[in-house]
Amino acid sequence: MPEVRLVNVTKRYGRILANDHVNLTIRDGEYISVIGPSGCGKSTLIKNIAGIIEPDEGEIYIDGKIVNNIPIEDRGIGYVFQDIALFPHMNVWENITYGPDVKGFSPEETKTIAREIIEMIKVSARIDAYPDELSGGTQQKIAVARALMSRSSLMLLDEPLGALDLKVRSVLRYELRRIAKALGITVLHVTHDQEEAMSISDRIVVMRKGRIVESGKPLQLYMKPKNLFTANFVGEANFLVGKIEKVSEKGLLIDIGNGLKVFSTEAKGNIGDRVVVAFRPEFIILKEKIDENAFFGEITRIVYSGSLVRITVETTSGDEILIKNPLKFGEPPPETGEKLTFSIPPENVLVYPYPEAGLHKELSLE
Amino acid sequence: MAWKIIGINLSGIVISCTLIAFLIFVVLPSFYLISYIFLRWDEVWYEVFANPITGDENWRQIIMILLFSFKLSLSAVAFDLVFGVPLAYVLARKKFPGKNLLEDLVTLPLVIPTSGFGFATLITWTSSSGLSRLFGSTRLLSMNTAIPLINVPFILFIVHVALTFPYLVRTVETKIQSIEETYEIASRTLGASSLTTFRKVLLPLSIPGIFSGSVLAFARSLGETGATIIVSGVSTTASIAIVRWASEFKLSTAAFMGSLLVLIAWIMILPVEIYVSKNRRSSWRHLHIPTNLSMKIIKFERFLSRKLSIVKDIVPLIIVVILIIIPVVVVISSVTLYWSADPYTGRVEGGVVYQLFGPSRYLDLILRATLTSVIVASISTYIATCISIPLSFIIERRRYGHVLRTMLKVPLIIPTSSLGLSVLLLWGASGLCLVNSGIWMIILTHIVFSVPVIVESIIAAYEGSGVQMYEETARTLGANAYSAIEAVSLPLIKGGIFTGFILSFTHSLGETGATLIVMGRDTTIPVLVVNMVEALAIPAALFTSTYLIVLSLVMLVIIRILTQG
Repeated sequence: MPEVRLVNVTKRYGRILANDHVNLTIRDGEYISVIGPSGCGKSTLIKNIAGIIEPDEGEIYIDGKIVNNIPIEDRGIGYVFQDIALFPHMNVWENITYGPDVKGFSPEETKTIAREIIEMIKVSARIDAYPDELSGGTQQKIAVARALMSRSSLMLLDEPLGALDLKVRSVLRYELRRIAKALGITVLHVTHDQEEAMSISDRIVVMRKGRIVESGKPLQLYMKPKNLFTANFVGEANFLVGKIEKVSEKGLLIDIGNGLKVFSTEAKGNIGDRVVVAFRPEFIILKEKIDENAFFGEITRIVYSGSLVRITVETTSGDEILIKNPLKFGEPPPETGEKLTFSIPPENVLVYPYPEAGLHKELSLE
Repeated sequence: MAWKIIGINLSGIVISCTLIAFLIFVVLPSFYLISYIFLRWDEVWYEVFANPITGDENWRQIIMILLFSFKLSLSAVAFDLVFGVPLAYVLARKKFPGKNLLEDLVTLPLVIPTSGFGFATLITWTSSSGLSRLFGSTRLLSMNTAIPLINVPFILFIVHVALTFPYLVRTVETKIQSIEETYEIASRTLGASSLTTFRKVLLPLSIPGIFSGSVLAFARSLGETGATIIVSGVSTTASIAIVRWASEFKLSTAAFMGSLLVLIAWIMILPVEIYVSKNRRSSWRHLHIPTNLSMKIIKFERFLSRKLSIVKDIVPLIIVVILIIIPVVVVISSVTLYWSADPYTGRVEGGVVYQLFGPSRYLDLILRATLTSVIVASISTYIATCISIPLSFIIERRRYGHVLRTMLKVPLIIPTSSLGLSVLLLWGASGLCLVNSGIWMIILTHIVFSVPVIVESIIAAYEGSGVQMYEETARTLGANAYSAIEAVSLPLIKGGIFTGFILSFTHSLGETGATLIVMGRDTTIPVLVVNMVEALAIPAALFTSTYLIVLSLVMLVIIRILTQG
């Protein structure tokens, strides 16, 4: 059964380090997503595993066997491309049976697998249709079917939904996970869409500048990211800079300037440390009166995005804080210029040491 | 408002003037030959089929010569396909040091005047100063040594391969570049070896390119005159026969042969054009290969993919070296060898210096021919450019544009000697009687094939730079149609115009086949090489060939600089 292990995989393009000593183990049957801003090296990573490019350093193991220098066709992988890449001169049937044909499956075997896969994928297209007669979503489903046909149990998905419409994407992503789980295959799914990764993965790997920043279960990355960059990239967060004023058993009290203080249940830190405080805008509670971890401010901007209201508040300390609140029926939403009191639950306040490179640089998506 | 009225009139005048010039200078000469056959059928019948003395001897000769030409051209194209397609693939997909140089080398025969190149190849293989120096024998081959099986003289064959190779390689290369590499990677991830991928994915997708490349190469080989006339020995190809008959004033026979060639070229190119222009899907998938056999093929390909990856890269390279580099090197080294005297007999009369400056005064002839060539190339390219710029705009913007573009293919595939004959019959004494053989008729002939060359180059630049979009942007910013063209479109396609100009200038400098027929008493440099070879003034021919090759290398460098900038 396929377990993929990368040891110190490094790939350079000129002076750019696309993969910088990447170490990663993908367990058998795991659905793993790699996310990161564009240019972070996630595509290079998946291409290294597939053999489309060869790493400059490091080893790649599939199923315990080292696969460096083994040609693409002998690695036993399924690969789905962002630009779909169904062969334009072949119809649906010829496309999905291409793998078995070149691998030398018997025609009966090919037919059996094809029927099974077509049923599982729920393709509605005629098998004699040509790719350019089908919608993008259907094309990509067939591309997935084609990759599954060769019975390989490791699937590499390189931004498979990137070229599709939003609606189609949100349906197809669950399909991908359902199929993977039904067949018990191992999947590495590369995407720049953190929401997509959150909703379907067993585990998420966050990459930045050729390195793995953090990996973990989706909820863990969301609730307790170990890293400032992850906190910013997965979901949204407010960031405030401050100094630890008091360390107690219950947590830390952080001075964020102008006499304002934030309490966090996190326990690591020393008095006087410069820190960054992060909290998610959707965890902020709107309140009537000021008590613990409560702030006071004036609404400077309101944006409606679907079911949410995004409220930007300027606090008395001059910091801008974003609050996300569900839009409720019958309750008039707040207006610009209104004064607002809100509090941040201490267990949701994350504390990070102030980054050496500066906050702005640490959060940057470059 | 006033602008608008003037505007309509202006564009109408420009379009009609361009179209009239196009019809008179390009279309009419390309089609005249065929109509000549119908107009003068009595003469043709009398001369070709029912001559009172020789009977249908001419007709039998035509058949024999055509068959030989076909055999030669088909085998050259077959060779091109076997080695040119892999080379095109390597050039399109791989990155390696020296790639630009290799591309230039492949393109060289397009630029080198063919008679000079033919002479270089001849010297390389048959003379004592060529390759035989390496092997120690006095001469490696005779001019008429034939390749077994196809029974075509070896030298003739390799010259035709070298001259047609670039057409196939460049066309297929462009086609492969337009196919996304993802298809190949997808095929590899599905378990196909690189050779299987090539056969099942890349080849079907690049079939249109391979077809048009082959047709171009075939037409080129069928019509090649300059090099062929030098290396053909006792063999006669169709285009040489036309030159010979025209010089013997057997105009009707020559015209009949010429129009047969034009028709054949058309019959070949039309189905391919239609095939290529339609959005075709694989037509040979119905070609059923039994499972066992296809498994064996796939296994064999898997084996070969491993073993032969380097061979595939190296063999085409060796062919390029043998066919193109060695002749050029040999001809240049021979000039130094023969510089002061014949190296074997030691006679000064056999040296380059004596022939150039001695009593035969070949230097004067060379200088005179250079002047003629430069005048012809400058004037014909200038006129052709003036027609081509507005014509390219018309082709891109009018609905009937694609018809004009297809018509422009005719001068490209017509054998050059047929074209020359057509111009001679149209403008000359037996036709409209407006121009006599000589420099002006050469110019008229060169305009015919210069226009398509320049137009193709401009269109490539036009389509590659998104002119339409920028021009529309300029219009939304308030520019009128004319200032938009002047300030936006022309600067954008400037590179294409320059490249086309240089290409056509070079083409005109090197043209032999048509020039031989229409030149009268004026001589261009490539024709001079032919004359020198016929007069057995070998050292002078060596010098002139080197001169031509150096000239065209300079042109190639200029093209390179222009297309990169």
